[in-house]
Amino acid sequence: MSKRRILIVDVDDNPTNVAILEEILCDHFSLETAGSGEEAISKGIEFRPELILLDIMMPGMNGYETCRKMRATPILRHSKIIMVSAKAMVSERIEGYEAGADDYITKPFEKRNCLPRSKFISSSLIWKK
Amino acid sequence: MELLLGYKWEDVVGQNVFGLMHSDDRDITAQRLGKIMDDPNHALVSEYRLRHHDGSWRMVQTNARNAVNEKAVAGIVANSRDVTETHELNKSLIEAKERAEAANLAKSEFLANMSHELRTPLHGILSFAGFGIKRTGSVPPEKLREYFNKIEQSGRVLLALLNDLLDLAKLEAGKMNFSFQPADLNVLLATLIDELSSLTSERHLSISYSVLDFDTLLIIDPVRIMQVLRNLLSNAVKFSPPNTTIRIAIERGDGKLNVSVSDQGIGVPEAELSSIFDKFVQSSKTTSGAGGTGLGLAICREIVPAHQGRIWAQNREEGGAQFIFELPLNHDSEMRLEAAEATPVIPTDRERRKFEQHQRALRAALGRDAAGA
Repeated sequence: MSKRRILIVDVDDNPTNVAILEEILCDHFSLETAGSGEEAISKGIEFRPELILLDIMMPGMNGYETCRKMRATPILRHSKIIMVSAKAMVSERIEGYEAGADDYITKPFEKRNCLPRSKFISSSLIWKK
Repeated sequence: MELLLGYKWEDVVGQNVFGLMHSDDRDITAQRLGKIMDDPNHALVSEYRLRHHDGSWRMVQTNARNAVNEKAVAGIVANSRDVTETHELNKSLIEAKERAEAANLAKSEFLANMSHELRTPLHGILSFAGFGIKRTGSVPPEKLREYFNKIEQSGRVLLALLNDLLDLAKLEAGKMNFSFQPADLNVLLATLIDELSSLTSERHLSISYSVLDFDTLLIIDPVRIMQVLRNLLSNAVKFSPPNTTIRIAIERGDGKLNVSVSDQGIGVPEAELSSIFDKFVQSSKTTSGAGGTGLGLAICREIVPAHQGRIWAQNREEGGAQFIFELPLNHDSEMRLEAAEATPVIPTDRERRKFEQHQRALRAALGRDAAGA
């Protein structure tokens, strides 16, 4: 069975955070990475991922803005988006949902928290199809 | 009347009160008085400014009542009192409340920001420690070494953050000990640039700086001035796009030495050029950018005035931000005395060690491999 396609958007220009997600998800998903919001949109259009893991603090366009733009892009409108951020205040989480995110995971997180949610959220897209 | 506004009774009888009234208050007061004249049994309290005999404005409160239908009165009853002091007290209370609310907001923003900054390296430490614990025996030693490297990098980021917090706390409490001594700014900068070279080459950045032919020997605390330079250069590195140049310039003015660090990055919004030096405040560009605690520039703003200098930021016409600090060439006697007792030292070894530590943290913060330095 082929792996589901997932796009991880780089965190704070920081490969450490991408490496963590790769460690957790690479056995279960086919991964692509992007280093900025702009690159995420461009790669999203190219790969049409089922799930996008999106950080907030990024160089250039931040995660909220990227999420809103993705939701306004027809090809990406139905991709599932999980925001993955160290921003943990309630207001910051709400802003994520308001921008169009399907879920929000705060760092630090554990594999047992991140992996099932990624599987569930991406599965819900298939079920909808 | 004399008690209220300083005018003698005979001087104002028959005069129109609107002649003494502040122009901004005339219309609304006229409307209110008109209302009371037209409406029997109507009462009101009105406040307006009147010119005192001494030229100052006094806030006057008038309680007025239409008693035209009352036989004993058959007119408008009004009594006025000076409420200037109450008004000023209220105004200062409102201002104090607004200041407290602004401070509270800044504190909340700082806590939210600190939470993010602490969580980010903690995420690295906890995640890679977890991978190491679970996978010992099932992954090769190189993989475990990689996990340890990541843990070390994240730990250094955390350490740099805590050091910044402690420095700021000391500076704010006035407990930072400055050790003034003669030091050559030229040499300090050359040392810093040399040590930054591997980091800037990784980021494809170049630093433009030429050694100056005039005397740049100053009485400063070299460790703290290096800290200022380090913060400014670190910011410039963080905000510079690849393949751009960071320019450092030293100029000698009227009894002063100006040091500027310019980048070709996104710049600072004009409205924030001053506030970015405030504690816990970051440029709004940072929220979508390079992170940070909002403490580095606040630390600089404490250190430079302790040297009788000043620091500010401006945007360059050709794009990018420019941070400038100015140090006096003529120092006061206390600094000279302290400096005279100190041995002239160019803090190479100590500074090099401190800088290397900071450089590793900065590289880790920027996601570079510390082992690759």
